[in-house]
Amino acid sequence: MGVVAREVRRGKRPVPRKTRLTVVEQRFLQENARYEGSPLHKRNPGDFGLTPPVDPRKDRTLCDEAGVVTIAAASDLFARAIERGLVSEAFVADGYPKRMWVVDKDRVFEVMYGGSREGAYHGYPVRRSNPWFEDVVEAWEKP
Amino acid sequence: MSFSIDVIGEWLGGTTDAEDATFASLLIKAGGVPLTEVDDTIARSTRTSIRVPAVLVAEWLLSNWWRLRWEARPEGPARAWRHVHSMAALDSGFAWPPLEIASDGERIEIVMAREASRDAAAIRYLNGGAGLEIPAGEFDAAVDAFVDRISERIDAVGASSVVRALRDELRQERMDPKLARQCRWQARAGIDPGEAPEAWLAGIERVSKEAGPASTEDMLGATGPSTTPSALEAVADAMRKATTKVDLGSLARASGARNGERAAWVRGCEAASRARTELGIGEGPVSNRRLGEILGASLPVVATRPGPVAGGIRDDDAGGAVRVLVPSPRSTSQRFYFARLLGLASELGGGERVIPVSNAATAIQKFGRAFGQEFLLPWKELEAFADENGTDEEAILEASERYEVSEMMVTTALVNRGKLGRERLGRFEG
Repeated sequence: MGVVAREVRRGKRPVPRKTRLTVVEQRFLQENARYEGSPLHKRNPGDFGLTPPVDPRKDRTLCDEAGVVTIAAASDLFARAIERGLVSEAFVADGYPKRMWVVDKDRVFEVMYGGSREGAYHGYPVRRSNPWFEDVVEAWEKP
Repeated sequence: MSFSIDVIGEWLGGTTDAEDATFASLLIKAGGVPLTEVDDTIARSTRTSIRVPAVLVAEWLLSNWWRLRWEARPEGPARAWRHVHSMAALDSGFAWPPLEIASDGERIEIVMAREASRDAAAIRYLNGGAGLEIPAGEFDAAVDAFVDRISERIDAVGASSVVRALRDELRQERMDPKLARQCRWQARAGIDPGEAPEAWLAGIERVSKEAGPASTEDMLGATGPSTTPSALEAVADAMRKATTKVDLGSLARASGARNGERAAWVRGCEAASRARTELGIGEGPVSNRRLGEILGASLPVVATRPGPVAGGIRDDDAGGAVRVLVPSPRSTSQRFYFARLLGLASELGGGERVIPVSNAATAIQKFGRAFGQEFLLPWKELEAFADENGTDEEAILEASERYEVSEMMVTTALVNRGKLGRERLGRFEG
């Protein structure tokens, strides 16, 4: 019973891996992964240089609403996510975790694999009403 | 229907994949209130629906159906529970509503949290605090209708999706009595169906044959995902060895279908009122002497301090004599406990050997708590007392002494009936 349902849930639940990125895994991502961004999560174009610049048709979470309005700020969060190494159990390809997370003051951002080329990631803020928000904060604060 | 999940207007996306094909305006209504009504700060207007890929909602409902349909809200911290029961947990990239679904087995509670300000999105939900309790059958119908709509759309565009496979699997589980029973057990305990090992399922089957099916499901709702068949067997064993025996056969079997059409607490209150009449109890408090006569025991009795599940086990299938565990030595606690047992014994009937008592938010326990409260403290009398004497702490103390119940019971009754604000219960916490 529940075979299909279990697989669907496992693919969707953003469970952090119990172990952080290893030094080797971090180095791989630092050399090969790149923050690209997504217009889907932008209210204003900023200096992201995306095409199209913004596309908030759907009711997605927006980086602007979480105070991230420049590519430098987003890239910094991306680098910190790799440095802290809080990643999902799921990996989409060799070396590339499906998700990473970064906590910045009172905000949680999820960094998701996907973009115009291999190794590209985009990110977005996680809403406080999302029960996974607290899970990420708790995992982030563990030494 | 008082609850609905609908796609309104045109499909808003293309046909690239299932998410694109089901991008739509999603409207969730409860009791006529659009729970998805938002203030859109980009458009500078309000709208009643949200723009999301509806297939994600269908996948959430289908892959978590058993627990959404059958699992009660836990007593303690609920973060793990909310991973399943909160729509906000669906997908971190969208601004899903902070909407929670909880079940007592007979009725589904749908509640929206308040959103005081925008939360990482351009929209803010406007109808927080709204909620509704509906018969579970209505929830089933609303979910089935929504999933059918999404499935038709996906099939129409030929997109690849797990929705059909999820639907087929769920349909098979719901139609097969043994599978359905096993899925319900796991869901009640807060376990995703399919995760419990075979030995667990076999063990619960044993417990169910001994304790009764409804009682077993209720105990699973009280004990949670870490429960084991041997733990439940130990409860029944402790009951069998209990030295306190009471007569719970005074009342006729409670009638009234447990189909969720009326809330369990309403049925509990009505049953208690009928019970007082049946037992010839007029207005006023039920004395310990009278309660003892009904039970065939002298109160208070020695306490045994069981775990999260207390209650008793029938000595024989005809009802009547029941060996009981007794959680508390306090007189007011015991009076409430035995009043609950009296109501539960008539509600559950002789086919259920175990009569469980717990703090679970299941329909059976809601019935029992409401019965116990109304039996000892009839609302009409408390209301009249409060109208005459007020509802300050002194008046509550006086009412509690008059009816030999706890101040917490008096306060809870007044809060539940809208005579007092919920904050008045704060003094009983911690």
